[in-house]
Amino acid sequence: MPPASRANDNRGPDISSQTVVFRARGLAKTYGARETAVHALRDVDLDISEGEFIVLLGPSGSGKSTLLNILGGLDAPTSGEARFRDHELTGASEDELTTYRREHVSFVFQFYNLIPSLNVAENVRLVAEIAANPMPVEEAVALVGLTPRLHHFPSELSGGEQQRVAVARAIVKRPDVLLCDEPTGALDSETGRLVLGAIEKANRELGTTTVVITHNSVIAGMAHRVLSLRDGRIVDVSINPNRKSAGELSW
Amino acid sequence: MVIPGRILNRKALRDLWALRAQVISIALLIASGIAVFVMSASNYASLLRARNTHYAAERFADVFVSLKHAPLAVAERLKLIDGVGVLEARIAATVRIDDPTSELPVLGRMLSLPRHGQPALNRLVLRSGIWPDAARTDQVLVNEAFAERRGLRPGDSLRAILNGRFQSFVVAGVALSPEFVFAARPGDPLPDDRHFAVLWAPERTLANAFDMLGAFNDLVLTLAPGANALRVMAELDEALSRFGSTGAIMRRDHPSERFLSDELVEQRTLAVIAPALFFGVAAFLLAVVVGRLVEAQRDQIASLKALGYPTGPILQHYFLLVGVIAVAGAGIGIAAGHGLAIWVVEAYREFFRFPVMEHRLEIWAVLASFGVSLAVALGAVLRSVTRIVLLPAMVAMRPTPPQFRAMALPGWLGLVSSTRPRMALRGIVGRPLRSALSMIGVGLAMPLVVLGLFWFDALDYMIDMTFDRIQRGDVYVGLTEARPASALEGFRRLEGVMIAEGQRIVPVILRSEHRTYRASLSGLMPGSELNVARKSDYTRLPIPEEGLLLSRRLAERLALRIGDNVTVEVLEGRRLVREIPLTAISDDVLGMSATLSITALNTLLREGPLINVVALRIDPAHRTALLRKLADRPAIATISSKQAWLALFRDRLVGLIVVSAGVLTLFGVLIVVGVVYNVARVTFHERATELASLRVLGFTRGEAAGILLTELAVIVAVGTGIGVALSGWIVRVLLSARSTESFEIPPVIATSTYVIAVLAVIVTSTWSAWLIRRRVDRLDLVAVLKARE
Repeated sequence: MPPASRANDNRGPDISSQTVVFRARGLAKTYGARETAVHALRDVDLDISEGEFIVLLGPSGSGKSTLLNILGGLDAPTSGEARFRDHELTGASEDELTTYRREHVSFVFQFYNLIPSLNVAENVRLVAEIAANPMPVEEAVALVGLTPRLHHFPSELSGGEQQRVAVARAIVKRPDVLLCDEPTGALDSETGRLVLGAIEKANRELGTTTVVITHNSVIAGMAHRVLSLRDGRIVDVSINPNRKSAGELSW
Repeated sequence: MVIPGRILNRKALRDLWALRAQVISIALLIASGIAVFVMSASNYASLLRARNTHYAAERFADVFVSLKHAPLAVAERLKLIDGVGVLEARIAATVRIDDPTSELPVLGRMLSLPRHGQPALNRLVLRSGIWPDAARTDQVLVNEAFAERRGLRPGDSLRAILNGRFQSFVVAGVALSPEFVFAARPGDPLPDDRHFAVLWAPERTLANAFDMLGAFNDLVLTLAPGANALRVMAELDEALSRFGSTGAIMRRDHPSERFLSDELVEQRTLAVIAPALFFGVAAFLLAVVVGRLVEAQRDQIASLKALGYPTGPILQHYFLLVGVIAVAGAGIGIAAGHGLAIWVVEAYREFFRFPVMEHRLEIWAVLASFGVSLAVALGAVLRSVTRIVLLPAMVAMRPTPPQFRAMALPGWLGLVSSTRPRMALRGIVGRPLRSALSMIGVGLAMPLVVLGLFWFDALDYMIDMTFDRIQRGDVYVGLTEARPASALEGFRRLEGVMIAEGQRIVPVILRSEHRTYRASLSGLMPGSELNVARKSDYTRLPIPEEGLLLSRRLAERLALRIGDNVTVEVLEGRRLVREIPLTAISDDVLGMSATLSITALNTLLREGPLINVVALRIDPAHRTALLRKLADRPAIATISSKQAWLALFRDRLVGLIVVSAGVLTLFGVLIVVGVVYNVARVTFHERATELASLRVLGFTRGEAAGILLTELAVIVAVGTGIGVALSGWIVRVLLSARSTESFEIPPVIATSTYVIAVLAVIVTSTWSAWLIRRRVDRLDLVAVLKARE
């Protein structure tokens, strides 16, 4: 089957019978205008089901971050529609997007983005304070295995530990969606596995819909579904019949 | 060959453009400091040059003596005193100028001109008209200030009362004299050109009118090079005491010269203190802003160095960036200072009359401005720039996010239970030096606003204290000679007089060890309604029965404490000398006053109950008629009215104060904006990632900005507290630095002034906060988070 036609197959929740939470149709994003215009996304259709673990693969500039940012309400599409449950993301105001992020979404980025002036527990509590139904801070920290580091400041932690704090911070509010952009990009493989383990745990135990961007195709082994992007289009979709756990990955 | 710095210099200019708002605010601070410096330095130089030229060209005397009456032969003998250079005897008299339109009597100081041409000393500069004909007794020269105020021109006529007799004069010419650069009536703190004239007439005119043929009553002289002034003056005093001399005085005690030198001191003080304040703040801001810029560019620096770029041009291009700010600030400041100086020199013409007073832009001040600005600016950034530029490339590549550690943070922060306020407080505590300096910056800005506004409070206090509480009379009448206290009855019978009180005032020299001071000793009635001594808290101080009461400044000047003995030497009549204990000290605002009970003074003078000044409380409805009636009485020499004096005071001073208050307030606002805005901008850049993280985590724009703004609010609040505490202190320091004998501004600051200053800080801070809030709103979340720290 040619890639283009397979791309149109990615509507159905074919690995699970769960409800669709994300629905995108004809999504396009263009930066700039005329000659200098960059088409970051072109005509993307995508449905994501509740509890699904998706990995986005693709070279730099393929549009995967743009897609993730639109799903997370950080960026707005130039055309097309995107919807999360009853939230219309296309054309939403800045305040509506903020509310959407606050109530449903968590992010993990490549460069941890912790607050340096707050310690581990406080970084996590910061989010718990604005969440409707957060888990106890200690529990979130325990989920990423950092209980002994509860009162350390970011500058006192290793890179992998900092990224696990970022994961704890992301899951403490029991988000519906966890979006991770290169979460292991700055880590060695052993710490990378620890971080992925924490993300996997959230997906499994909390049922969080999870989207992970990576350059590293090995990580794709964890996903229910793997989407490959190139030049702003989804060019390949593959479904993992046998998912691997984070601990089984090696690179 | 390509010079390695070229492209980097372009980078420096682009960095400047990117930072333009901050660059402009810092350049304006430098400009403010330079403007005050250039203005004060130029004024100082203009005034000094005008004075020195005038004094030298017109041969201003070194020593002045006035006496009652002495034969000219005495003057001839005095010329032989060792150390006397040129000595000239003349006749001086106080005359009344007839002006039916004036409510108050117009007084004139009339001086004799020698038989032939110009005087040897204190020569005149003829501004218009001709020199009076020595053979005629109806020609006078008039001082320029009076002529201008009265619209008098050569050929106009003038009537005056000389020794009780009307005499008509023709104005031959209009003149200036080094003796009357500041032409105020003796005892007046400001020149009142409407009611005070200086007249010069040929010797015969005065000799005839005042029975002084072959005699003199005024001496001016220069000292020979190397002469001992004090010894010459002592010899003069000894030789002239029997001719009614009131004692020789030196040039520096001459009223006109004293006012001039006071103004010179003030400009010199201003030239140093104000710029120091601005430069301090500007240096701090440059250190913060450029420090932040270099920190943000450390990876650029590292890659340049990794590429083999030499360190020199990298250092140099940062210095170029700072140099541009300093030079631009100095340039703007020089232009503004020059403009202000021209304006002030114009205002000076109201007070100081010189033949030539030119404003010149002083080259040394310009060079010093550029030099100091550059030195301060480069000095401020030297450490932060070299620290990073000199780092080895590999070290510089590694970013250094702020290093927060549990140990380094004070435990009380844990008491703040909510996470976001805790972030704000840690932001402050985590950079203690910068936070402290920011607070001090705000704390320095507020006093400037206070400094601009407190003049009104001080003036109100002075007027209230002096005219409503101490000298409570509406009109003070000086008698031509001492008369029995029974003369008061005559005043009381005049229509419109509500209270009349007699006073006895004599010129004295007060001595304590080597310290001396010439003062007017006032004898007051113990229960006086119209003249009351007070403490600064307004409580009434009784006039002591026996001892002496001095104003605080006079007591300090003579280093006296209550209980000490003061030698009082009367400069009138029999020139009696007596020791009197100091028994009380009062808090006057104007002048240096010495007071005795009138009985004690009469006893000291070995005279009966005499008075020579009458203080009146009058009914305003009868004011004009009463003043006219008083002016017609021959026994009355001077009349001063509180109302006229206040009008003059307001007319002359309030305009100046409004302008300087405006300028200082503007400068204060510049500092607040400079400090708050720059600190906020730098903090914003440092925290961009944090703020973006918060936004991504679902915090609203308001919540994210709130953390930064809380931090700024704490800095501003603490800074304002420091400002309130510093204001009083800075006002006192500035006032004591400019304190002169003739005038002391009390450091009185009204609550409303503090309120306005705090409001100014709040408004400018709010504005800065709003600008920052807009930046937070526009934060590109994706771009910030994708970038590496």
